[in-house]
Amino acid sequence: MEQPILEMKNIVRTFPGVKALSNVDFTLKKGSVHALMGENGAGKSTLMKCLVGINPPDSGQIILKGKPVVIPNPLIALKSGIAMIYQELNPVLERSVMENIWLGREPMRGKRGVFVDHKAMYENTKTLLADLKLDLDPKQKVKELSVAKMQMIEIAKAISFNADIVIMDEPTSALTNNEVDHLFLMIERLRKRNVSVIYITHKMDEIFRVADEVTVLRDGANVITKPVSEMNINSLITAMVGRELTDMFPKVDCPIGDVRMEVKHLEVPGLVHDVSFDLRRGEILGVSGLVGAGRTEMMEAIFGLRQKSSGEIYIEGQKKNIHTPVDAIKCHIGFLTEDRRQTGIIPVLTVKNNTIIASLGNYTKAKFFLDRRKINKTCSEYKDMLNIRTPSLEAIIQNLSGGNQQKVLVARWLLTNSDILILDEPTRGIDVGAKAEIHSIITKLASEGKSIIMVSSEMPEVIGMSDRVLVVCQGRITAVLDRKDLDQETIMRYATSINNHTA
Amino acid sequence: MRTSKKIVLALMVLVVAVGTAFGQTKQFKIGVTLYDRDQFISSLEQAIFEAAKAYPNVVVDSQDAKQDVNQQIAQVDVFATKKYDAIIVNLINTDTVETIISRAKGIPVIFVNRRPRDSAIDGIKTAYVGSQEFDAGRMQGEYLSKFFKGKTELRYVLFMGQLGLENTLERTRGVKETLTKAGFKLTKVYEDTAEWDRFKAMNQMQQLLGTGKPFDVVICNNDEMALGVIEAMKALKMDLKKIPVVGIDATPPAKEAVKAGDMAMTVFQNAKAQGKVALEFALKAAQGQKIEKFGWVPFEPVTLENISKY
Amino acid sequence: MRNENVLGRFVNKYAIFFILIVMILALSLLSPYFLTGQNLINVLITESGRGILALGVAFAIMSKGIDLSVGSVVSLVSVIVASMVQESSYTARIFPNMPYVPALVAILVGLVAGTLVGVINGSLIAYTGIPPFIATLGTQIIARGIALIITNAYPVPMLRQDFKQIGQGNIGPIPNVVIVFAAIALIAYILLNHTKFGKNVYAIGGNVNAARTSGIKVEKNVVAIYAFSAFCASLAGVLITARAASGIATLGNGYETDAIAAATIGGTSHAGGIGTVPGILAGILILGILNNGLLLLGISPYLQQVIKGVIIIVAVVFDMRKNAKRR
Repeated sequence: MEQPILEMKNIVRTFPGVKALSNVDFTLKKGSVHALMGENGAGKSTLMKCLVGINPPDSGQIILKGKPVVIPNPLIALKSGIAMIYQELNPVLERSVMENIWLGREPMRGKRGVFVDHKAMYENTKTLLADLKLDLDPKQKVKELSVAKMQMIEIAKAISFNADIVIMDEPTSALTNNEVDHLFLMIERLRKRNVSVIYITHKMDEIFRVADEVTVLRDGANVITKPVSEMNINSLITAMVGRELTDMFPKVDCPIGDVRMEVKHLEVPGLVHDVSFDLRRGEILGVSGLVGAGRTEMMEAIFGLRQKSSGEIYIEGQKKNIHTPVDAIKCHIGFLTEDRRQTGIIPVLTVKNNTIIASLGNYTKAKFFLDRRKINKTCSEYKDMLNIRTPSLEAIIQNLSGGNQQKVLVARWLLTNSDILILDEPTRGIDVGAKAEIHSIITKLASEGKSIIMVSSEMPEVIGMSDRVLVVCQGRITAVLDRKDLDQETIMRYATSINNHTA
Repeated sequence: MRTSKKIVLALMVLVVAVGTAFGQTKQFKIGVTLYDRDQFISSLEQAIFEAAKAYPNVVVDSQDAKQDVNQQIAQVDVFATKKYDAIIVNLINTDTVETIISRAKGIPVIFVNRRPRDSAIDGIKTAYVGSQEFDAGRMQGEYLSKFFKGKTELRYVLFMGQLGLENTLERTRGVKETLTKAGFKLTKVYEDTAEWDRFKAMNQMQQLLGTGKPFDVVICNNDEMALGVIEAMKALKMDLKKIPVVGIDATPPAKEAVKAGDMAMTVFQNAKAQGKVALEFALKAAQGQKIEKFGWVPFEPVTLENISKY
Repeated sequence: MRNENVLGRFVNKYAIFFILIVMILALSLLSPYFLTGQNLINVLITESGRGILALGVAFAIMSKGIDLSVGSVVSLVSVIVASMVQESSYTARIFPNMPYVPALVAILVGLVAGTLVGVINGSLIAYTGIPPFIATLGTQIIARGIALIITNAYPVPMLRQDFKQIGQGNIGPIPNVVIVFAAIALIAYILLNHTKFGKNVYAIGGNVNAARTSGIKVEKNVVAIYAFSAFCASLAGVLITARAASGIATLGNGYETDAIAAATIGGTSHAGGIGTVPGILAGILILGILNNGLLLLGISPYLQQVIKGVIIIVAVVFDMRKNAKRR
């Protein structure tokens, strides 16, 4: 058997109070694509940070091409042939493609030159890009490129270092389907050049498309390493979660009541056109559509975060003027936004403060002082009810996993006495275990009579959870589908039916 | 009709001719740039305007550089571009003197109150009008020598102005040298800068008093700091007659303090005279007349005996 | 191993207080005058003005803003109040025809005028969207200009005894200014920890989009934040003027830097959302004790500056370690 290009043995890494990795082994074969999976916090990123020297391990051994090595920082890693492509790319946007690739090691004129040799840089870049069959102008500014192209540049950069190990951290999280196809083609090319790829992802289907082998980490330990051909989705989930998830979509049919909210002729110039629908008690109303179809904008307009040019909202038959989130909250509407980091959590504050922030007005004494006892009591009730896993209510929310952050935000909106909950991509970026939990919370809320609007790009989620589905295309509702009529093809057809306005 | 038109026309020509003649031959434009407008500089500025009133053909344009060296240079540039006849400069930083002279493009420059290097001025197109800072310190020293006649050792507290400035250094040197020459042995109890600031001096004095260290005299580089020191000492009901506090500048509140017997003495720096002499130097230089390299305006000691004069 | 870790984390978390204690211990050994009641009270008196200022500015910093106008507000309030309470016997009064104004009324006028600057700051930031740095830089220059216009750059001395008493008097052994400082610290603490307003400040600083989505009236809160900052500055202006017994148009020049430094040393984050009143107090005391210590030790004024700079940097580096280990 051929010697593996990389072996990591007994890797241990602790952070204050946490043992992030305990005796992890990891072996990478030459020229193979190796998927690294696990829930958030399982230790995937930490393991890779050990490998590239961002957080060197406390103990353990790294054997590269048969020789034990110490990698104290990312530069040494690069020089040893290990390149990492981060989830959040950080290119110098204002500079050109070639300047980004050769950043910090620009070819110079003369032997000990002071001036950058732009001509050589241009030629080198051209050759490099041609080699990888990338059709890019070396002189184009990076900010004019899509995220997918930026990723390609990162890959090209890695190759320019003669990297024989390329680590990709959730590379497809911001890509369209077409771009994903292109990325996989690129990975294929890397494999042909005998480059090994470590591929970190959450997405099951991708693994079966690109990976040769898979390693699953759980709670900082190696659970399994196997050829992909010996695994299936269920065995993967079981390995990741540590238990069998019987039901990803615990939908319970419950009686649906009267109409609670009606939206009529909602219009946001250029984004949302003549949208009308109603929402009932106990109903989960799915909203499906392609990215950019205007679903989020529609919800923002309902919630008063975005100005609408016309349209009316009736709640319990009464017309309501909603211009700001304050108005919406008064109408008992809650809005779990799509981008948890940007508009959801307040990263530096505690779990408690994040929970209570939208409903502080209900927790005051003499209309001024906060009633801390009441706040503590309520927050711990909701923590238990939603099964929020946090060391304490005083923990800083940014240290929690995505799923638990999301649960805190759900608690936030429940505390405002919301009857109508708009959930925009409620399970994006959350690992499978937490996903199922969020789904069961949604189901429970609906069965208690709340009305839920669930915007989701994940087809199985929409189909598995919704009582009805609005399909949105280019800012218009193109179909309202009942649960019995739901299937992937029908939804896709309406989501792409530009000229077919049925609503 | 015709004649009257002619007469009107003739009159108009005459008026214009006389007007331009006056304007061309006699109009003098003097530019002034000040380091900032504190109380002293404001009265100096007033004096320049007052002095200019005596000449109906002199226009004074006064600018405030707000302690910004670049702005001062820019103001000189503007004066030079507008072809002013002379520029009065109250320097922010003495290191910029060469730059300012070259940017004036041959227009006479009279420095006032902040003294440039002697080598920079020539007595023809450039001169300095001010008081000898050393003298202010000397006068404090002379007063204190008389006050402490018979003593051999002086335990002193000294509050200095902004560090590194000529007046801080010279005033301090003046008082120390004079006292040493008079035969006193000087013992430092406390010596620090309070940056000309009343409140800073007050806070430092208060903390010093908290230590209970004994001292005989408090010497301040200016009145504002002396007034701050006095506030701090009064709060502890200390006898200001026995421990003299001396300042420099003779500002109105300082004069009140001298009158009340709180401040032992101050030194009058004649802002008005400095302004007046500066303007006279500027006019002379503008007309190409010979001027001196220095226009010295003497300091004057102010004590309870002669306070009524000021 | 585990114990060491816990101890290490504890020290890290409260690093700024440890630094303060170390400084106090060191100075007690170096100077016999340091650890006396009178000296410590003097430190508090001296720092009260800057301290009140820092507490106010910290609110702006915690909301991810900055308030550069506080120094000018001190100056403006100083000359406004002083010009109303000059001795009628003094001939060179700013307003020779000013009738007798009770000290309390003069103070009230000053506080209102100063707070108004803050309302303007907050409104500019909230409703025009210009960055706080620019808005408060603008009002800083304007307020300074107005102070100079009022006084023509002359000091406003010879203030009435009833007014000076406010800054110079004591209640029992404790000077008035220290009592006001303590009161403002307590108010700031209560506002931050026990009111909706305080939580809103943290939320706006921590993530303004999330705050808005959560139904927080961001604009109104921003106006309140800057009004509070300016109110604190106004109060400091009144106290300092009463102590110095003179209104000075340049009194507060540079104070904003000191106040921002104190708040920052005390762990207030310029990235928003982080800061505590005890931390800020520690920051103020570190600066104050440093100044006092250098004074007591009689260190050359030139060398003092170097020592100050070094200690400030060392203090913050130590304090930053608590954040560095996370993530």
